[in-house]
Amino acid sequence: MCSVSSWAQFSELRGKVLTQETANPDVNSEPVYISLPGAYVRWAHDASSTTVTDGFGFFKISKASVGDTLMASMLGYETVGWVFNGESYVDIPLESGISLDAAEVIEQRSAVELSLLSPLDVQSLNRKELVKAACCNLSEAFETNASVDASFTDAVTGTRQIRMLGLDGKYSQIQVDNLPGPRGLSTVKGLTFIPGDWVNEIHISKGAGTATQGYESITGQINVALKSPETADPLHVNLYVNGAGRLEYNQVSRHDVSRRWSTAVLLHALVNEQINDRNADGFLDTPMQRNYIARNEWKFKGDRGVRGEYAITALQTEAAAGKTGAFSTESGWTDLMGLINQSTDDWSAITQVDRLELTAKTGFVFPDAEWRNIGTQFSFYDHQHAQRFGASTYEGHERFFRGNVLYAGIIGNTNHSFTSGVSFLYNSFDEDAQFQINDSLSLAYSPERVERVPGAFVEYTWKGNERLSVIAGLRYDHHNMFDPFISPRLHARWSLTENISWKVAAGRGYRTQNPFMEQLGTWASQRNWYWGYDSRVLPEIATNVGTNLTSKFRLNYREATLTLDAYSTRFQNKLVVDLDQATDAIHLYNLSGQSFANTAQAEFNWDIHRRFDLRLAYRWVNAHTDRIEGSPTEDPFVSKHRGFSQLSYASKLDEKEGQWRTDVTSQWIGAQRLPLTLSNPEAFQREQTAPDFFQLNAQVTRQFTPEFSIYVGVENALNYKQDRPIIGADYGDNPVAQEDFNQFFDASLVYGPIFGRMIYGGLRWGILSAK
Amino acid sequence: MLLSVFLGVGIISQAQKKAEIEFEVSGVCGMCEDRIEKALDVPGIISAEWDKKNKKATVAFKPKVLTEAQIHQLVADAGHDTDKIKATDEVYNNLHGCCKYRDGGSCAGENDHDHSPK
Repeated sequence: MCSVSSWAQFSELRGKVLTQETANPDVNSEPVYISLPGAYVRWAHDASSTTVTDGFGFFKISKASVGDTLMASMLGYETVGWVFNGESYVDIPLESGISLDAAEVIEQRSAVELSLLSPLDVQSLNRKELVKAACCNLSEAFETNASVDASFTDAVTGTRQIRMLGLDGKYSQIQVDNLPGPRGLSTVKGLTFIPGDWVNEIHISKGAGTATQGYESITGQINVALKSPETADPLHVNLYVNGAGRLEYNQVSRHDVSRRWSTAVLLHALVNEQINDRNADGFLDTPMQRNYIARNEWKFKGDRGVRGEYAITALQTEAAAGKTGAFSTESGWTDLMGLINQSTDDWSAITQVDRLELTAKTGFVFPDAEWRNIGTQFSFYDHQHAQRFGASTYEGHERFFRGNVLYAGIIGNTNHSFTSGVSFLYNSFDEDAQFQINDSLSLAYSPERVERVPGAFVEYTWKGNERLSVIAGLRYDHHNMFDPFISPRLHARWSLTENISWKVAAGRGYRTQNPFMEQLGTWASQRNWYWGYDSRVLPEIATNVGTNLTSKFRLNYREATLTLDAYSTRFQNKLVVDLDQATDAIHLYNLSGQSFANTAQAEFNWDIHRRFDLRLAYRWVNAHTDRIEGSPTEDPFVSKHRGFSQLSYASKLDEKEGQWRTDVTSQWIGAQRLPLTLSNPEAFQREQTAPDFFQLNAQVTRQFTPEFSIYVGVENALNYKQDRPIIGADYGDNPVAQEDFNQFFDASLVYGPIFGRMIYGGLRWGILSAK
Repeated sequence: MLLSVFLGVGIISQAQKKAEIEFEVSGVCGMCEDRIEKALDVPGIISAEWDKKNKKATVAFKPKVLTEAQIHQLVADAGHDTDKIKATDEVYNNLHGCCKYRDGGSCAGENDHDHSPK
């Protein structure tokens, strides 16, 4: 035997049996191949030569003569015959054929997928859905989504924030490629650092998240999967321009370096130096900005189960906003940015952010057991944020490191699986904020803190029954500043019928607060920052419970989905942001009463016709937070009712696979409570309740070939604009004295669009992967 | 509740104006599926799906607009035999090599033309 194997290398044929993961109709994405362990391989003429592929789909078989046929087969796949030509290595792809009912492949993927089988309530948006809003970065990508609300933080900086389950985006855990994303000092601003054209898929998971990714998820998890060396095309270029003068360039390219290594380069540049003041209030409607972001990702795919993904991201963003009078069109960008150090006579705001991010993920799958694997995840970032808003300045520096080691395995059989692991988080904050109260008085805050949090977690998944599956997780985190965090998480799915599934979720989450950056909008006002009677730095703690009922059925022979869900979040502690106590102050204190947010949503998707898709949704929120001073307790800037409808059309593909696509999205945003302004003189008061309004967005895409398409669209087609958004601005009829401005200016009470109708257009061009 | 209302509407309206048929269509792979379903993408057809594993096409259509025979003809014109109408040799011969169901075609052939993964 020994002597045989010593020369066997020369007389052996090696190879791999694989299959394409799912038939993917999206022509832009490259097919993903996965290896098939346990497939049979034999020479057609010799049954005794039969061998079985190992855990990675590899096989070895003694060579036969040129012209002989090698047969590869596996249950559920079509048997393949391959003619031997003297090679020493071969890849054999199998087509799934007689698929097993349980593993039925979804052939026609819709833009939004809801899984009936996973216990997690996850909604996945793929490229098809993401291109419906041609814009631009992540904060704008949710415009066409019913589960996430997007709104402006203030009327000058153009920064958008999201809201999930009726609560600020800071209570959602946003991840990029399953690693920590916008958080800490970049909680709000960080969403704008993820260009839309870099994104491959977004997974929105409502309710308590899984225990493996940390304690920070309260209302949900949003995982953004960026284009990677695996999913990106060889080249993708996107140009975008809009009526507000914003010009964007995105480029994503993929390069195969060797059989094991591949890399992707992602570039983004945004320039907007146009001065827009459509409502003639003397303030820029949209900021002037320059953003540059670059990312390089490397992927390693070893033959024996080692996988790795390593990425570096660097970004620099600069923005200027405020009164048009503060900026002269003559001065160059460098002069403009120089204004960060000196305040101008006319109110202005300058922001600069620099960030460097490094991530590394390495996984190992055991060759003899694909269900057993070890993974390590490391991420590090260094984030610097400097700004001057009026006479107030801020400098913040955050460093973050997290290491996560995960081990996944099974208990007995694959009906019982688990993921366990340990993590370590290091997060340092060094902030300096200075406020000019009046000519002679200035206030400074310099909070500093270092968080060190070792933690351990275990998550158990039970799939003992086709109808029922359960994921139960528990994590323990030992925080250096606070009591230990114990975060239990539970998800269960019960299939009432093949097409109706019911899910429940419960969990507890924690987060630490960084109010200066989380209340970014408040900087665009004359409000002074006060820490209330109980201003100890405490973590925010909340429990979330929820349920979801998803039903798939046929309506007029065509597929339809109806989803009903309800979630409730209740805070044990919260940093209450009180804008009602006084118009010249923001009061921050720990919760003394109760705070909760209850939401319910109904969403109906129907593939009405093979060229038309319809989506209707309605969302209800009831969110209250007890303040020190009684009523009103209803959370401001939250619309109790929101309705959403979207009609999409895609024409038949022509010979060149050209297509017309149209999407029309309309939204009705119900009334929102605004912070009290009653104590102001009448000219500086605003309504207590914002009116409801409609938003209509439409876009037409002409795809000439899968490689090239152009699009034009309009946002806010009805041209709805918030009435007099900035308190203290002169709307033509009310000249404002400088001292009144200094006392009452507030641009943070924003509930709707400022800019009005906006037209945009762009193109996408690329070199696609060979099919 | 809402669900049953939706379904109810669907059932009532189907009674006269719409019909659903199922018939056999020869074919091999995903490429065949695309071809068959695309051939049935014509006015009057509400939904058309071809199942690769049992070689059955399920078609919902409006009998006022087109007949069952016409549906079979559409499929045959695209090169696929149905249980009622056979495709002409001319169209059949133009099918992609791997889709030649009469000659025991299998998507194995895809190995030959650049389907191998990197």
